[in-house]
This record gives sequence, structure tokens and C-alpha cells, in this order.
Amino acid sequence: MKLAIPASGPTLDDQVDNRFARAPYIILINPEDGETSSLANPYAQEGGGVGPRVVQLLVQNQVTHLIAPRIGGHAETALLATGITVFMWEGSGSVSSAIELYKAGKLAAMTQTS
Amino acid sequence: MHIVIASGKGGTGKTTVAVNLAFILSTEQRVVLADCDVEEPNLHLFFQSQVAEKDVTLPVPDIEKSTCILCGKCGEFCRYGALIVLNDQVLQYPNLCHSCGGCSMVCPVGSISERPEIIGKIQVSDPDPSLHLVTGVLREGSIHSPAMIRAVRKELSSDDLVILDAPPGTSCAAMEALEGCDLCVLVTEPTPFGLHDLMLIYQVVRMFEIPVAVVINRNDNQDTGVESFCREQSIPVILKIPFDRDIALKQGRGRIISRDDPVWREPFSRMAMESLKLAGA
Repeated sequence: MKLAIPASGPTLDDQVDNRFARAPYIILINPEDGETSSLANPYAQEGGGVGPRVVQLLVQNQVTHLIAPRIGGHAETALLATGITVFMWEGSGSVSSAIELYKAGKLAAMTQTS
Repeated sequence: MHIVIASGKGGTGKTTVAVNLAFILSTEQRVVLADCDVEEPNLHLFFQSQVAEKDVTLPVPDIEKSTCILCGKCGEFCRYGALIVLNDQVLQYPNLCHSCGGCSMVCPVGSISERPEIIGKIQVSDPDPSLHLVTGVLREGSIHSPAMIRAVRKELSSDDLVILDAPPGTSCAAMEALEGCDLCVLVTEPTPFGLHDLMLIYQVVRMFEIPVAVVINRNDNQDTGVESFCREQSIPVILKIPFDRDIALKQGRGRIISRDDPVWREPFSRMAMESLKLAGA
């Protein structure tokens, strides 16, 4: 599995960004072996339609799980079509704290009806 | 000759001015009135009559699933996120499409053709033998105001005397209605907001090198700078409409004040003559 988290910077110490598709970085983590990498979001500064394009980027990077703040309508439709499991992120904290919450099973998964 | 009625700020009275200008001019000659405020057209409320309508469409991609190889080229190409390529499908957002045709050009297997997507409709009517009304109605939720306004303007002949009611603000849509006109009448109100937004739209109109005139609506003689701005910039103020309950009532009932109130015929006639002169008639 591969977990994606939008972040304000490229490291685990950076904050989870409160925007999904316009976060400057996306951190990719394999929670099983702890391997992490970061992706500079090429669409962070673009005009419109960025939600679907970031979802496309996640698919290209074999992402299976996502921790994300509020997600726009277009991105939500795309995420549902991919089968990526989305965990809702409310509040604030670092990427590593988000991973800990995920591992502890404390994040709620978003379903089609939510 | 095309005269566009615009405003930086919404709710200043573009429609009032457009309706009355068109009415007054139509008593002397044939006038075409074009509602380019396609997100909220309302001129038809003042000129009700039998309407003929037709759809306005834009081309959007039509993907043949049976031959698509999910290579991802179209999804990488599209700058607007109107289509994305996932593991098992191409997901489309026709509403985000800007109809550039690029996706069908980059498809290596020819799986993308184009189909028309309805973005709105054009309604035409003839409320009076000398008044022809063209209204653009953008489909709810569509982002394509500029394309819709282009479709309205396609219905207009340069030989006609045309009054265009522009959308408010300084957006792409407003510019689509302004471009190429012979005169821009800016409607404003004597408030700090009215002045601020008048200054914004004035900069835009100057870029298009269109002659400008100003109408001050809801004038209470307590001007906070609109008139001095017009003096400084040498912009003629061709009409002041007072802040008046009776005008608001008539207007709110869909009546045309220059037709129904003899007091208003003369000021609007003068304003109409002045407009024609400034437009180069």
C-alpha cells in the first residue's frame, strides 16, 4: 500500500496542508516498511481544474490511501472513481503525527455518502 | 454602431439604462438590444413577447472506450482537468473543458472525437416592430460566460444600432461584451464602492480604446468623488438619475420609466442623443 498526505513542505516534520490539490507537496509513505518520498505538486499554482489532475498524479504514483483535508467536488468524484481510500483530516499537525493517527486507526474513512 | 452599457460594480443600474436607452432610440429607428449579462439576463422582463430560442454548444471530447488504450496522453495534455486517465477509465468533466481540441490531437490511436455540449441558449424576440431583443442564457453551473457572450454577439450585425447590456465587473466575460464597441456607457453610483469599481472598469475600457461616458444612478447629491473623477479624466457625465422611490417602484414592476413617466422622457432622450454623438454617429 501507499499512503499520500498533502503537506506544506517535503519532510515528515512539515504540516499537513489544509488544502488538498493546492498543497505545495505530497508526501508518499509505505506504512508497512516506513519508506517515504515527497512529490512537489506541479499544479499547486495553476488556475483551475487542479483537483482531478492531482488525483491523476496519485494514480500514476500507485497511491492506494490518502489522508486529506476538505476535498473539492471534482476531486471527490475522481477519488471515488479510483477506489483510493480517503481518510478525513481535521485540525492541524505534522505529517508524522498524521501517520501515527492513521496507524492507531483514529482517522475516519470517507465514504460515498459522506 | 454598438453601444455597450457596463459597470464595474454590480447593481448600479445597467439594465435601467440599457432598457431606457433602447426604448428611446427605438421610437426613432430600428434598435437591437442584446442581453450579454448571460448569468442573470433580465432585459426580457421589460420587453415581454413571444420568444424563439436555440441551443448554444461547445465541442467537448467524446472518447471511444473500445479503442482507448489508457495511455494517459490526453490527461497529461489537458490543462483544465477536463479529463483524467485512471487505471481503468478516462474520467471526464465536460464542464471544465475549454474546447481547445488538444486531447483529440494528442491521442495516438484516434479514440477521441468531439460532440456538442450545450452551454446555454439564445432567445430572440421582437417586442416592437422597431425593437429586436437577443438574450443569452447561460446554463446553470456552466463556466462558459465568455463563449456564451461570443454566441450572442454573433447574432448581431455591425450595420445595426445595437445596445449591449454587459455583465458587471471586470472579468473576461465583461471584456467579451466590451470589445469592438463604439461607445461604452459606464453606470455607477455616488458611493465609495461605486467610485472604486468605476475606476477599475475605466482602466479596462481605456485599454480597448473605446470612448467612455458615465451615468450616475441613485444620485443623492452627496457625491463622494465620482464626479470629480470624471472631471479629472474628462469623462462626460451624460445622465444623473436621482435616488427616488417612485423610480425604484416603477423599475421594480418592470416598467420603462422613459415610456411611462413623461418627466423622464426628455432626460433619456438627451442622453440618447449624446450617446449617439459620442459613438460617432
